[in-house]
Amino acid sequence: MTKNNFFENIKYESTNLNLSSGFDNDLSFSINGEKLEIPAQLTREKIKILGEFTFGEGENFDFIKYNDFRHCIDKFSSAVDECEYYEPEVLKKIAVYLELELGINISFTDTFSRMLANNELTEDYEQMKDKNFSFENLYQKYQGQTLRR
Amino acid sequence: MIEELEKRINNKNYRIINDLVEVITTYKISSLNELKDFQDKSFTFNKIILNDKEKIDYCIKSLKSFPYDYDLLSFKEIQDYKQLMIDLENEKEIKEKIKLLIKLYTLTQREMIFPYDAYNMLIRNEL
Repeated sequence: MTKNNFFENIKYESTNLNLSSGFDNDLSFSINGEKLEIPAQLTREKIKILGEFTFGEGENFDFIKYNDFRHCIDKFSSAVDECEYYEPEVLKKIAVYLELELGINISFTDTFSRMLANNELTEDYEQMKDKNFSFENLYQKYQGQTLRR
Repeated sequence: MIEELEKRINNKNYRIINDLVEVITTYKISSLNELKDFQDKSFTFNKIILNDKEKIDYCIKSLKSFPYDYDLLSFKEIQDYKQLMIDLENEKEIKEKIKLLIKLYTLTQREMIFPYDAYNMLIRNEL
């Protein structure tokens, strides 16, 4: 995927989704025949995101420009550690959103399909930044959309 | 390093891997040598690195001196904690004791104390 190009990444992941119709989360999260439980699934995605943002962002993610984004990842990371207090589906959506921003292959393919179908991926970080971008606002936004379905 | 850990996540070790990744990303550790240095530093007193037995005694003392707030643990976690403490007292092997301490530290949400040993155990699918 292209780093730091949200909409290009959506296009890339959608193509992959079509190519692998029938491919679902269960396959992404099966390790040696064992299916990971939701907290373990979220932890694995969190680790991918943290690893990419800490070691892989390089010069693509300017420290000051992406300051709110960094805070959001921090809060997302803590939320995953205490995932019993959050709605797993909303955390999955945030993971998908963050992965698309960072150019990481997504694993929550079911969640991604639903987000695409429900038009929930229409704004990238640059566009959301003007509307007080934060983990809390992102959580509220996706929680609202999840509740409406 | 993180990718290797990511591949080994299962339902039993994901919290330990999570704690280890926290250490790696917080302290921007990028090699196994740096991880070893980080671990050694936690066990260095008066410029001398403790031996394995001393490290274990230090951790046990620390666990007993600063008991965890049990209110924050679930019933099952309290049972697990007690069982791990009993296993630790009965265990003779150094490596097994370290494994139990890693589990105890994660269970009680303390910072990973043996990150280098934990990494090696996880890579060998021993944890």
